[in-house]
Amino acid sequence: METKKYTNPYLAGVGLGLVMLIAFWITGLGLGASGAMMRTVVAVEKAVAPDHVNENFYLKKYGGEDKNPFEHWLIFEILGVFAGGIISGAFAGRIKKETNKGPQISNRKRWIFAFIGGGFFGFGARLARGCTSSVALCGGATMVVGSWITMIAIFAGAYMAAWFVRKLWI
Amino acid sequence: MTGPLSITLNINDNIIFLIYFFIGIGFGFFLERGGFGNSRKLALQFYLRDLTVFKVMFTAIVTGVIGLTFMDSFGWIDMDLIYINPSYLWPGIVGGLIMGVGFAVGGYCPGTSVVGLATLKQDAIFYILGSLFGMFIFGETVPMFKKFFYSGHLGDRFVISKATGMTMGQIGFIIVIVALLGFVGAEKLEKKFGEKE
Amino acid sequence: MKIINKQLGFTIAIILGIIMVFLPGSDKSKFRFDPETLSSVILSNEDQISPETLSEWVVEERKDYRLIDIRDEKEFNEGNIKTSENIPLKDLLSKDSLDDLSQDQKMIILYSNGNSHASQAWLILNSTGLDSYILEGGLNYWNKNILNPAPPSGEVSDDEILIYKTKAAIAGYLGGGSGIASGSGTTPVVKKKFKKRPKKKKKKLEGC
Repeated sequence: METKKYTNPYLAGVGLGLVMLIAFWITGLGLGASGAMMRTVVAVEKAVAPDHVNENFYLKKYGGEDKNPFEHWLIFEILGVFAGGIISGAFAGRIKKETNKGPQISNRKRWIFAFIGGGFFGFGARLARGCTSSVALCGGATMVVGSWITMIAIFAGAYMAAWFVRKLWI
Repeated sequence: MTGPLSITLNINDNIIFLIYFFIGIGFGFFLERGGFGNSRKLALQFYLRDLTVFKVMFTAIVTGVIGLTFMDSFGWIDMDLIYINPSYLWPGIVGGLIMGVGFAVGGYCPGTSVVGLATLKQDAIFYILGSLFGMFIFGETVPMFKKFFYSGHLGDRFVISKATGMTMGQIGFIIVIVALLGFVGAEKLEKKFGEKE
Repeated sequence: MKIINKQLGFTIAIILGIIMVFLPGSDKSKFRFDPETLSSVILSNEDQISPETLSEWVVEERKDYRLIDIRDEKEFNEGNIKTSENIPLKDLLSKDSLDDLSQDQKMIILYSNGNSHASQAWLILNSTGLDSYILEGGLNYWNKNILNPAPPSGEVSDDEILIYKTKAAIAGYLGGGSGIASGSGTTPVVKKKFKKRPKKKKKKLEGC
């Protein structure tokens, strides 16, 4: 199947914005993503070492005592994101087993850096209390001072680091 | 009907979970539509060759700002009941910078990596595993810098209108103008440096 | 994407943006009522604080409450309860005053001459999301019973004498009336029966 062109970014942006507005109007909670991943981590830790979870002030919030870390809207939302990605990808013929990377490196190298990049991002996301979806999109739209600051920091960090890792992509 | 409906209509938690599944579908759908399942396309932002991320993100924010401002004005939504992210200055800055590094190196952010996974991108899997690992490390180490994690607390609902005394509409206007200027700039940059898809 | 559509979108955004500048902010306080919770609080008397308890707190020089006299300035100056501050009812509901009260972590106690105005103020504060307490009996009861405790008459037990002396000491400290036998110099420590109502938690799921 021929890959279709991507949707005009402005239209996609409006679509995304509308989804966010609907979320706010119906639930008042906006969107998110990193929280779902954190909860997955806590759920695994809780299964393996529940006492440790109870003793850690941060982990406790997600899965301490009788709290089920998966009983949270983020989990359902992220499952929806997965489904939505499949649907759009299917329509556009973009469901393809591949690795996106720059021409100068191998797949394996890309995978290693993907893991490293993910590690940084995961850590940073919890430190800043959110990722681009929750902080930048929702915090941006609700005009939260801290969120705008974090958003600027994300772009700044990325642009600065980009020079050093340019071989990965171009 | 005033929103957020979940509170004014006292909607049951489980139904909210279900609603969020569908909201997620919309979220993932538009992310993929914009091409955010492709890590290279995302990373090219930072080389000024493809500014889709900027365009999509800021269009979404502008849509949200305009929408919320008008809804608030018409009384369709009660801003006091909307979730507002807490503002902690120092962890917000440092965390943001670290996220930026992660974005440039990994090429994804959590939401887009799930979309990547959905479209069978192998690097997305590694990114997700890395994210989980990074968050695990955070959880284990945060007690050591608990003080830093809570430093610079500007407030739990510290919105720009509270900080500056301007109304939502006035700040929104500024955001719209900045975004529009940004879009003009982005188009020019893409013409100059961009790659044809 | 066609140029025309881009220009259209651009124009729409600018127009909406300009309109937004003139939209009124949502700074006006919103009033919200939750009848169920309200009636349960009222029926259980959790919204009241007894004058006896308050008098103990004043004597102990506790700093964790704000005692607000909601009558007008003139009445306040004629006589008020020690440690109270005067915020007349009409000013109480101004945005500045509400902001100030909601930032404060201290307990808010309202009183007027009797019960009714304080109760009404309580209800209005409650609808803006602020918790507060009403001084039972208001200033009238306070003046009559706290500042001028009646000495026990007839055959009295030692306990009753002790209680009276305690009250008298408190009254003296509070600037009470004449004809009170001075008790021992030390301020008595009395057991508190007052239980502070836990802060109302809004039904809200957490964010991300």
